[in-house]
Amino acid sequence: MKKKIILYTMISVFVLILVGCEYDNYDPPKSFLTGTVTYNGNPVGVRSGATQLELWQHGYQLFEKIPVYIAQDGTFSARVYDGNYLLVRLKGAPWETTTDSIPVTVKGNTTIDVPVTPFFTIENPVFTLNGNVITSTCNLTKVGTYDVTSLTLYVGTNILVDQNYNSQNNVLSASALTDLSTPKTNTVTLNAVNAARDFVYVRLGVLSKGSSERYYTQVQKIMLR
Amino acid sequence: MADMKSIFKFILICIFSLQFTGCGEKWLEEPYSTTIVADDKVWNDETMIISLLADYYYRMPSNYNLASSNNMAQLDEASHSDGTYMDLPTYSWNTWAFYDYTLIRDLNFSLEGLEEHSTFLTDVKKAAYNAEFRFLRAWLYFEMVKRMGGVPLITTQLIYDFGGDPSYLQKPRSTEEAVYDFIASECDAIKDKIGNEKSHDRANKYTVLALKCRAMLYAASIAKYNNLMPVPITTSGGEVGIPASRANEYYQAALDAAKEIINAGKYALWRGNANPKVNFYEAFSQQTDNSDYILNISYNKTTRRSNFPYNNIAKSVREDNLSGSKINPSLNLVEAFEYIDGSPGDLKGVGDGTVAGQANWIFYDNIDDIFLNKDPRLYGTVLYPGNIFKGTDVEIQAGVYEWDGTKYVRIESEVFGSIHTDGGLLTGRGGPMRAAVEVSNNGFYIKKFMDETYLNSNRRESNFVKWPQFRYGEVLLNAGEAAFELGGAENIAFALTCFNEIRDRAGMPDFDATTLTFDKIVNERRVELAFEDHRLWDLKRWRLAHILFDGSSSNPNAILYALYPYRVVHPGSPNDGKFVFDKFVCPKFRSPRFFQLGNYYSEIPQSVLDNNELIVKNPFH
Repeated sequence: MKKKIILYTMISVFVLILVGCEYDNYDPPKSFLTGTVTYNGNPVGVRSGATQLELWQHGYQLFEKIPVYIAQDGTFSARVYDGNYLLVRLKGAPWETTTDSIPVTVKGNTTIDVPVTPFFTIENPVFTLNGNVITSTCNLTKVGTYDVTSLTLYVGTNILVDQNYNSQNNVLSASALTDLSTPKTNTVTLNAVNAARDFVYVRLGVLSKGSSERYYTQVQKIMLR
Repeated sequence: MADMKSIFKFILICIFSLQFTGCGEKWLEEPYSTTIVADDKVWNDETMIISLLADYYYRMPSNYNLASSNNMAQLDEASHSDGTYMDLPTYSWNTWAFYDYTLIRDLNFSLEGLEEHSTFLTDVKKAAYNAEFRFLRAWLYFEMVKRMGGVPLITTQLIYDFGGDPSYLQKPRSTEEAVYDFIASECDAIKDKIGNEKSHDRANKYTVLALKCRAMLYAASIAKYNNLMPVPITTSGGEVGIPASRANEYYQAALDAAKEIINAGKYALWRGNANPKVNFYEAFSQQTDNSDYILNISYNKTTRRSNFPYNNIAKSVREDNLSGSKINPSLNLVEAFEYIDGSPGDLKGVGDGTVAGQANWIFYDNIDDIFLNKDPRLYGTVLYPGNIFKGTDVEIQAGVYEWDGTKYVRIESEVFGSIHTDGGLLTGRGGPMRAAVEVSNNGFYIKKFMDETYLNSNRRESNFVKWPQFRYGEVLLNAGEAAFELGGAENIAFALTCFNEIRDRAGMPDFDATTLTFDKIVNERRVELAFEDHRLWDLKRWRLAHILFDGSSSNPNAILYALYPYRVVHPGSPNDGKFVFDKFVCPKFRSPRFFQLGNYYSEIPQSVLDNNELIVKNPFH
């Protein structure tokens, strides 16, 4: 008798667990909001995990942002519910702060471009390898009102390359960057460890006085052998 | 079975009848409760008021203290032998966040309770308690504003009327400026009413002035240095950021408060020992009262334990079978201590661990000769190779360098106190070791606040060394900095007397009008106030933290370094038996320090934003 009661209880609890899920949970969000942060139609490179877009949605009890991190190549993606959102470009990125938000309607998978105005851009980056020396040339363009602080050539051993993640770098300070009309040359001599590798990744980043974050070029892979 | 049933019945009847008799006596309705004390009882009993005060003092925050010392390794003062904070790519936005309106409410409640219910206390006593609660409230607002920027200034209890709409209790953030102004006006109002003269554990007039001095210096620095940034950190409502126009007014207020303490002559730097090295050590590591301390935490064995020696004692002299060695002062800090002639403190003749680096070596006769002629305060702050602690050599030696005919070859052991084939010491009982735990990772141990009482680093013991929350040395440094920033011949002269009192006690040469610079002030505070919870807040108010800690692997400020000593084995050479040193990135250190602009003001908790739509976020969050 006792055993039977326990058995019945266990079975009914087990069944309750199964059916319970049907009623008290939401479906997970299914729609992807993807896009790219652009300037003049070109993606803007950033430091990975550093710059953020915010999604806000009115009409619910708690008004809390959905943070959307921008990948280092300037793309972003978030999985959200269908609905109307406001997209805000958060302060602290390498571009002009703007308080205007962008209305976004998500219905199924949605793609948007987020236009920004960087303080500085790097045009025509070219990386060349000569022996163990990597040389970059580029042109700097001042877009905003703030002056340049530094231009850095980064060498990394994997595809994530930026101020935080790099193996070697060389910094050109503001004094070497006074004349913006001429191309800027930056070199890194690979150390013994890096020179022994099959390939490295390289990238340029420009820092302006307007932000503590840099505008980066897209990462390039350089075959050493 | 029948017996059981009758017993059960009997019990039931007993309980049933008890109800009748119990009710008759009304003992359940006795008006005295053992857990709730009525207002008029509390506010007329000084013992109870003091126990409330004790609780409030206990709840005042600090980034670290002697009971919780891990955060000493959060920036560049020290590395941590366990690896805590050693692989920290960024500081999260809520690092250092503090938003304690429970304590604000308790203080407001106390102020109103004292006012309303206290009838037996004399007016002077009542005013003194009122002042002490207001001091704690002002201090708490300071602790919040330095972390979060402007916070809502709540000075009364907020009581819900149960009318269905609590929105009238929501208050917006005050401006950062307004919070600092509030602290200043509160300090002015209470300084002559508060009692506790000569107490180090409770605030008195000079504690109030020391708080005002510190708060005004912070406000002034933010007004000045925030606005010198290319893009100052501000919000449109002024919740963050102080107008540059107020800088001088705040510096003057800081200077005036400091002068009032200095002129009163109640405190003095500790000068109990003629030897400046030993004196600086004894000033912070004795159990007796220090004439320098204005307010301190006194630890005891029961209610407020300090496990600082248990956590941090050097491996070779520990008195427990576990722990120790946690906080290892960084080589960065060691090198910040200047030489006794006032020249920069970089250690000389140091290799980098490579064969090429051996060309830089100076062969030292004794293992502590490399620290010869350093600022005597180094001896009182850091336990370095060659030091004696608790009567025993701490024996810090990483290994030996043995000559192989063309170069020196490094040999290290993983055995403490191991002996090399030549019969001499290989690796010391105090390490350092690259991968082991509970031993220094970087070649140093902490000495400040470590006393040498026998067995006090056993986990069953507590430590009675006090932790300074406000001290006279800081007041002098604050006064000197404020006077320096204000400028003018008279102020510079006063600044020099302040700094030179500190320098003289330390055994360092005086500054003069040309050698006293902003960078020297930064460094002087770094070494004098090391491990006293000032470095972080100083770097924040000067807006230097994001420049020093920029996350770059090529920036030596952002990286913690180690110094490993080696004995030279080179029979037949004059170098045999001498000591050489290698400096390299601390073996457990993985990510350069990265303080981002969004770390200057910590994140307001989401629950606060959810409950009060009037609260605006801090920048970058």
